[in-house]
Amino acid sequence: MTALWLLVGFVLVGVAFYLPGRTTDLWPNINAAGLVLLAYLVALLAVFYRRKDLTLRRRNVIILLSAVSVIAAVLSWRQMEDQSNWQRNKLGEIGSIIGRGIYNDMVKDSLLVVLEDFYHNNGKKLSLGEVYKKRYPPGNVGDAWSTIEQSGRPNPPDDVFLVEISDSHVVLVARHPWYRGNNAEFLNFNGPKGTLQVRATLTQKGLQYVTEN
Amino acid sequence: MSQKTESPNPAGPPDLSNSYLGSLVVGAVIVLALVFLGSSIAGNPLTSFRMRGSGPLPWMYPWILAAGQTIGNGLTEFSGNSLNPAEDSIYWASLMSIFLSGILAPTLTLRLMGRARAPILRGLYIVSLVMSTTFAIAVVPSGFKAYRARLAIREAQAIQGNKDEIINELSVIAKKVYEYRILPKVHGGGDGTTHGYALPTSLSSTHWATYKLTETPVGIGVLAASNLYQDAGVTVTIQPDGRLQGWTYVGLFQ
Repeated sequence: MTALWLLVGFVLVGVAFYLPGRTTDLWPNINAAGLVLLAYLVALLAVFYRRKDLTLRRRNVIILLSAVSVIAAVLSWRQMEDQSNWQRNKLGEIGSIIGRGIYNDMVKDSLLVVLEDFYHNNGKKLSLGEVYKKRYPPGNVGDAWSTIEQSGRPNPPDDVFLVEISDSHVVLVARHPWYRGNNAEFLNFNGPKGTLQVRATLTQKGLQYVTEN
Repeated sequence: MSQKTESPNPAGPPDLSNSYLGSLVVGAVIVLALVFLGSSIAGNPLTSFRMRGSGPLPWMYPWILAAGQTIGNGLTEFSGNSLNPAEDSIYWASLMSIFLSGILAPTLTLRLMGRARAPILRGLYIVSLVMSTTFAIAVVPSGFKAYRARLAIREAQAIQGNKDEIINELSVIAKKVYEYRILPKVHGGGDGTTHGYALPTSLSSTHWATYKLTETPVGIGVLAASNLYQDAGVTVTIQPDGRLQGWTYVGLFQ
């Protein structure tokens, strides 16, 4: 009979474990198995409690200890699931903060030096667009910065694009390949979906900087 | 309940017999050894995911293996790599963990209690009793430790998150100062100087902090006082070219 109990337990819990299929996370598998296991343990304890060959006191003690253990295990289980998902989510948020910081520094610096050249180092009275092209040649719309940016930047800026340029304004869009933005459905410029994206517009009046996602 | 029900089986071991108590003592000693070794080898369950599969805790508690997998996935996403299904070894370890501590140990313990006469059954019973006792005794303190670690991690992360957001906002302010220095007065700038710069209302007090600027000989000094944690703050100097220098962290941000 004990062997039958074991066999039934292994089969039911094993089937429940594999029902969610192969996923990137283990939680669907072990949660499914855990629910079946809980039912199995309740049945096991119910049958144990009906045993007549053990004193009531002994059965009560065993049932009480088992209940405490099972409750503690369920709480630990749920707590660990919540905490691990929280930490995973927090890593994504940290990535977004890092990405925003990098773009704020890199994109703004790169355009403000153009503005500085325009106002303070512009003997030939070039237009804003011409100053930009002089500093970051060739300055064609659609250029990724990997082809135009000077060295020494913290990250390879292949995710920053020149999207508009004229005598009076320059527009850059930067979108991160994987750091997530606020909206998972946001269609990013020239590539991924739902990732961090900023837009910087430089005019003679200054810099407009918008976090689009 | 009848008197018959209350009576112990004369053929079985007496209630709380010496052998039963001896088993519990042996189990408790092994439990202590396992918990001690578990802490030494694997450390705190919340910070020991790299040790998954080693040490007693992951083998007793499948949720530790699953948590390790989830956090590993978070790190994979953070690095920009695509996720793959969990490795076979992790699947097997999780299932074996459930089988051992959830089915085998309690079933043998409860089914063989008072019935194990043959030496081999007696041995099986002792082993399963030790496993069950180990699980039962260790799950309560380890769950409590994990709960405390969870609170500590969340509090530490909240403080660090506030600090990170303030650093980002200081960078925004620094670029505003740089832009102000570049722009001519006709466009609201300082025309080559940072003198006279005033923070816009939207930046002087945010959800994260309140900022105060003071002009110094080398630039603009900024005091950022956290709006979430009393006495926590950051001081830094903005150079005329927008660079931030002389970071000092105060209170909880240290």
